[in-house]
Amino acid sequence: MPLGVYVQLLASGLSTGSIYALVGLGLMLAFKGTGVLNFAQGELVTLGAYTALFLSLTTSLPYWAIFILTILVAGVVGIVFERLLVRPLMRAPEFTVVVATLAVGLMIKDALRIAWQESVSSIPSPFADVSVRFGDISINAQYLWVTFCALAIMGMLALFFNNNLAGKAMRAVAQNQTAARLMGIRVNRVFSATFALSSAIAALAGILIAPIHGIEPEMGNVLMKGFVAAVLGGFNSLVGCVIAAFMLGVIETFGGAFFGGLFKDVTAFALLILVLLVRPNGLFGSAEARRV
Amino acid sequence: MLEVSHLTAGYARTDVLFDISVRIDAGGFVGVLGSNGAGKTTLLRSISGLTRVSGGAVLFDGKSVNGLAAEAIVDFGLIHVPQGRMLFPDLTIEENLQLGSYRSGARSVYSANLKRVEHYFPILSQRKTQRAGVLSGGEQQMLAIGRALMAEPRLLILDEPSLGLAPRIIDDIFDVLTHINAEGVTILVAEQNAMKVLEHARFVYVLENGRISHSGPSEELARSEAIQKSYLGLA
Ligand SMILES: Nc1ncnc2c1ncn2[C@@H]1O[C@H](COP(=O)(O)OP(=O)(O)OP(=O)(O)O)[C@@H](O)[C@H]1O
Ligand SMILES: [Mg+2]
Repeated sequence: MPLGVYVQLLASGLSTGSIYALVGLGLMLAFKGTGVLNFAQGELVTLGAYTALFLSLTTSLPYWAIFILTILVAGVVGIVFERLLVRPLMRAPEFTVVVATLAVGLMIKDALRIAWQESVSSIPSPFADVSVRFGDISINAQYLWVTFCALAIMGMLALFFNNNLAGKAMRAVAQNQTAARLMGIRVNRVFSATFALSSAIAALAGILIAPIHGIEPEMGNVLMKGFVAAVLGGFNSLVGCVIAAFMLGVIETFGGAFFGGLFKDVTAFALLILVLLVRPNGLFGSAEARRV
Repeated sequence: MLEVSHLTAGYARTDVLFDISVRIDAGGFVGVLGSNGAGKTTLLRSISGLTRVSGGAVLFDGKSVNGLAAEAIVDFGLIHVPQGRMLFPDLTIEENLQLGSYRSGARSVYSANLKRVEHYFPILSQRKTQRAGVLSGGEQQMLAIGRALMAEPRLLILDEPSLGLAPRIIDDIFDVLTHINAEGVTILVAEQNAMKVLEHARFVYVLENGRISHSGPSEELARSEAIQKSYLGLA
């Protein structure tokens, strides 16, 4: 194969990985902040995509306005999700919460299936039909845009958690709620903010993936890949999650190109098992908790 | 400054504190002495809002703080250093101190308070960028007190700061508390270490099985036979 094809596969793989990274980051964020493994995270991606689709069908707003509005709506969805589901179950056993989020995820998925009879649809993106040329290699601009967004979110989160008092307060709540309260930190507000952020990141993934893979009720199944990336990355490190997600996306894409589409998922999970056999704490995790 | 009157408090089904009355005037250094399970932690948690009070009142500056959330009580300048220190182990020493000054009333005096903490505990400034989790027990207690000082306390309540520490470190810590008190911070310290409390506090309450069994100025209690027998190991 010519070099150009490899580069295009790489770009496509990185953009796929970027989506996994965003899903993984959202999962990790909610888990670290509140101890809840949110199995509805995938459906938050779906909801984000449908919100954008709804806005693009019912209004004549430009891409950027839809982009920002969708993320704001997703933030509110996250807050409602936390209030109605997570907070009342905060004192329940962990499995109860996990099952509850799983159930809500399934409900969202089926509700969308019932409400939205059209098959796959998409939202227009100004990047989707543009190619960026490097010499005689051309790459779809949407791939670059998706990858850029994932890296930007990672950078913003790292800055937020390491250099901002509110971000540090979030980490403090994750480590010792009682002590955080004794510092005057409003734990409930931090929980709301955590889910708002997590849901906003999920919606971003939804908007970004829509022009590439289309919008349909099943798109939330990307949850598993995000989960794999987060675990591979050690479930504690933002950078680890993103690198693992990139690896996953790239290996999958090349695997799919060389051995056929069915090979994709096999690679992801084989990689997970292999890595965890050798490094039980993930590629970038260590036995003791690490800083982000 | 703090007035606890006829307080009854406890956990889900059982009360563990009965009819407790404790009073601390501004500038005071008061001790609560009690052995394991006497109810010291429960008393401090009731004052700082972590444990629900079932009867009686807790007044801070004459205002009732009963029923207020712990995170709201902090805003009055009532700062609690809990038993077991409860640091944020994965945050650095510096970040732990920054979170100490999280409450709105403390942010504007961050640098002055940081200077004060580094003055009392120079070891903390040398190890600023290390995780709190790697500190030794004594250093952790220093950080816990330092973090509380960052909150610009008016009343500092401490739960067994001597727990698990070497005698020399305990001396250092009580010396610092005495200095802080001389700077104008009112102090309430709960301890099993009778010697230290009687030496540094000016007034002491003795807690037994959830009730105040004795109280009085330290010199007076130190001479009492009952106290000598049960708490100082003197026959
Ligand atoms: N969370 C809880 N739930 C139920 N009972 C509790 C709880 N915490 C403490 N108790 C009970 O309350 C009583 C007083 O405990 P408390 O922790 O206040 O004692 P303490 O004087 O601080 O003891 P120590 O010196 O061991 O810290 C004990 O009988 C204890 O078993
Ligand atoms: Mg105790």
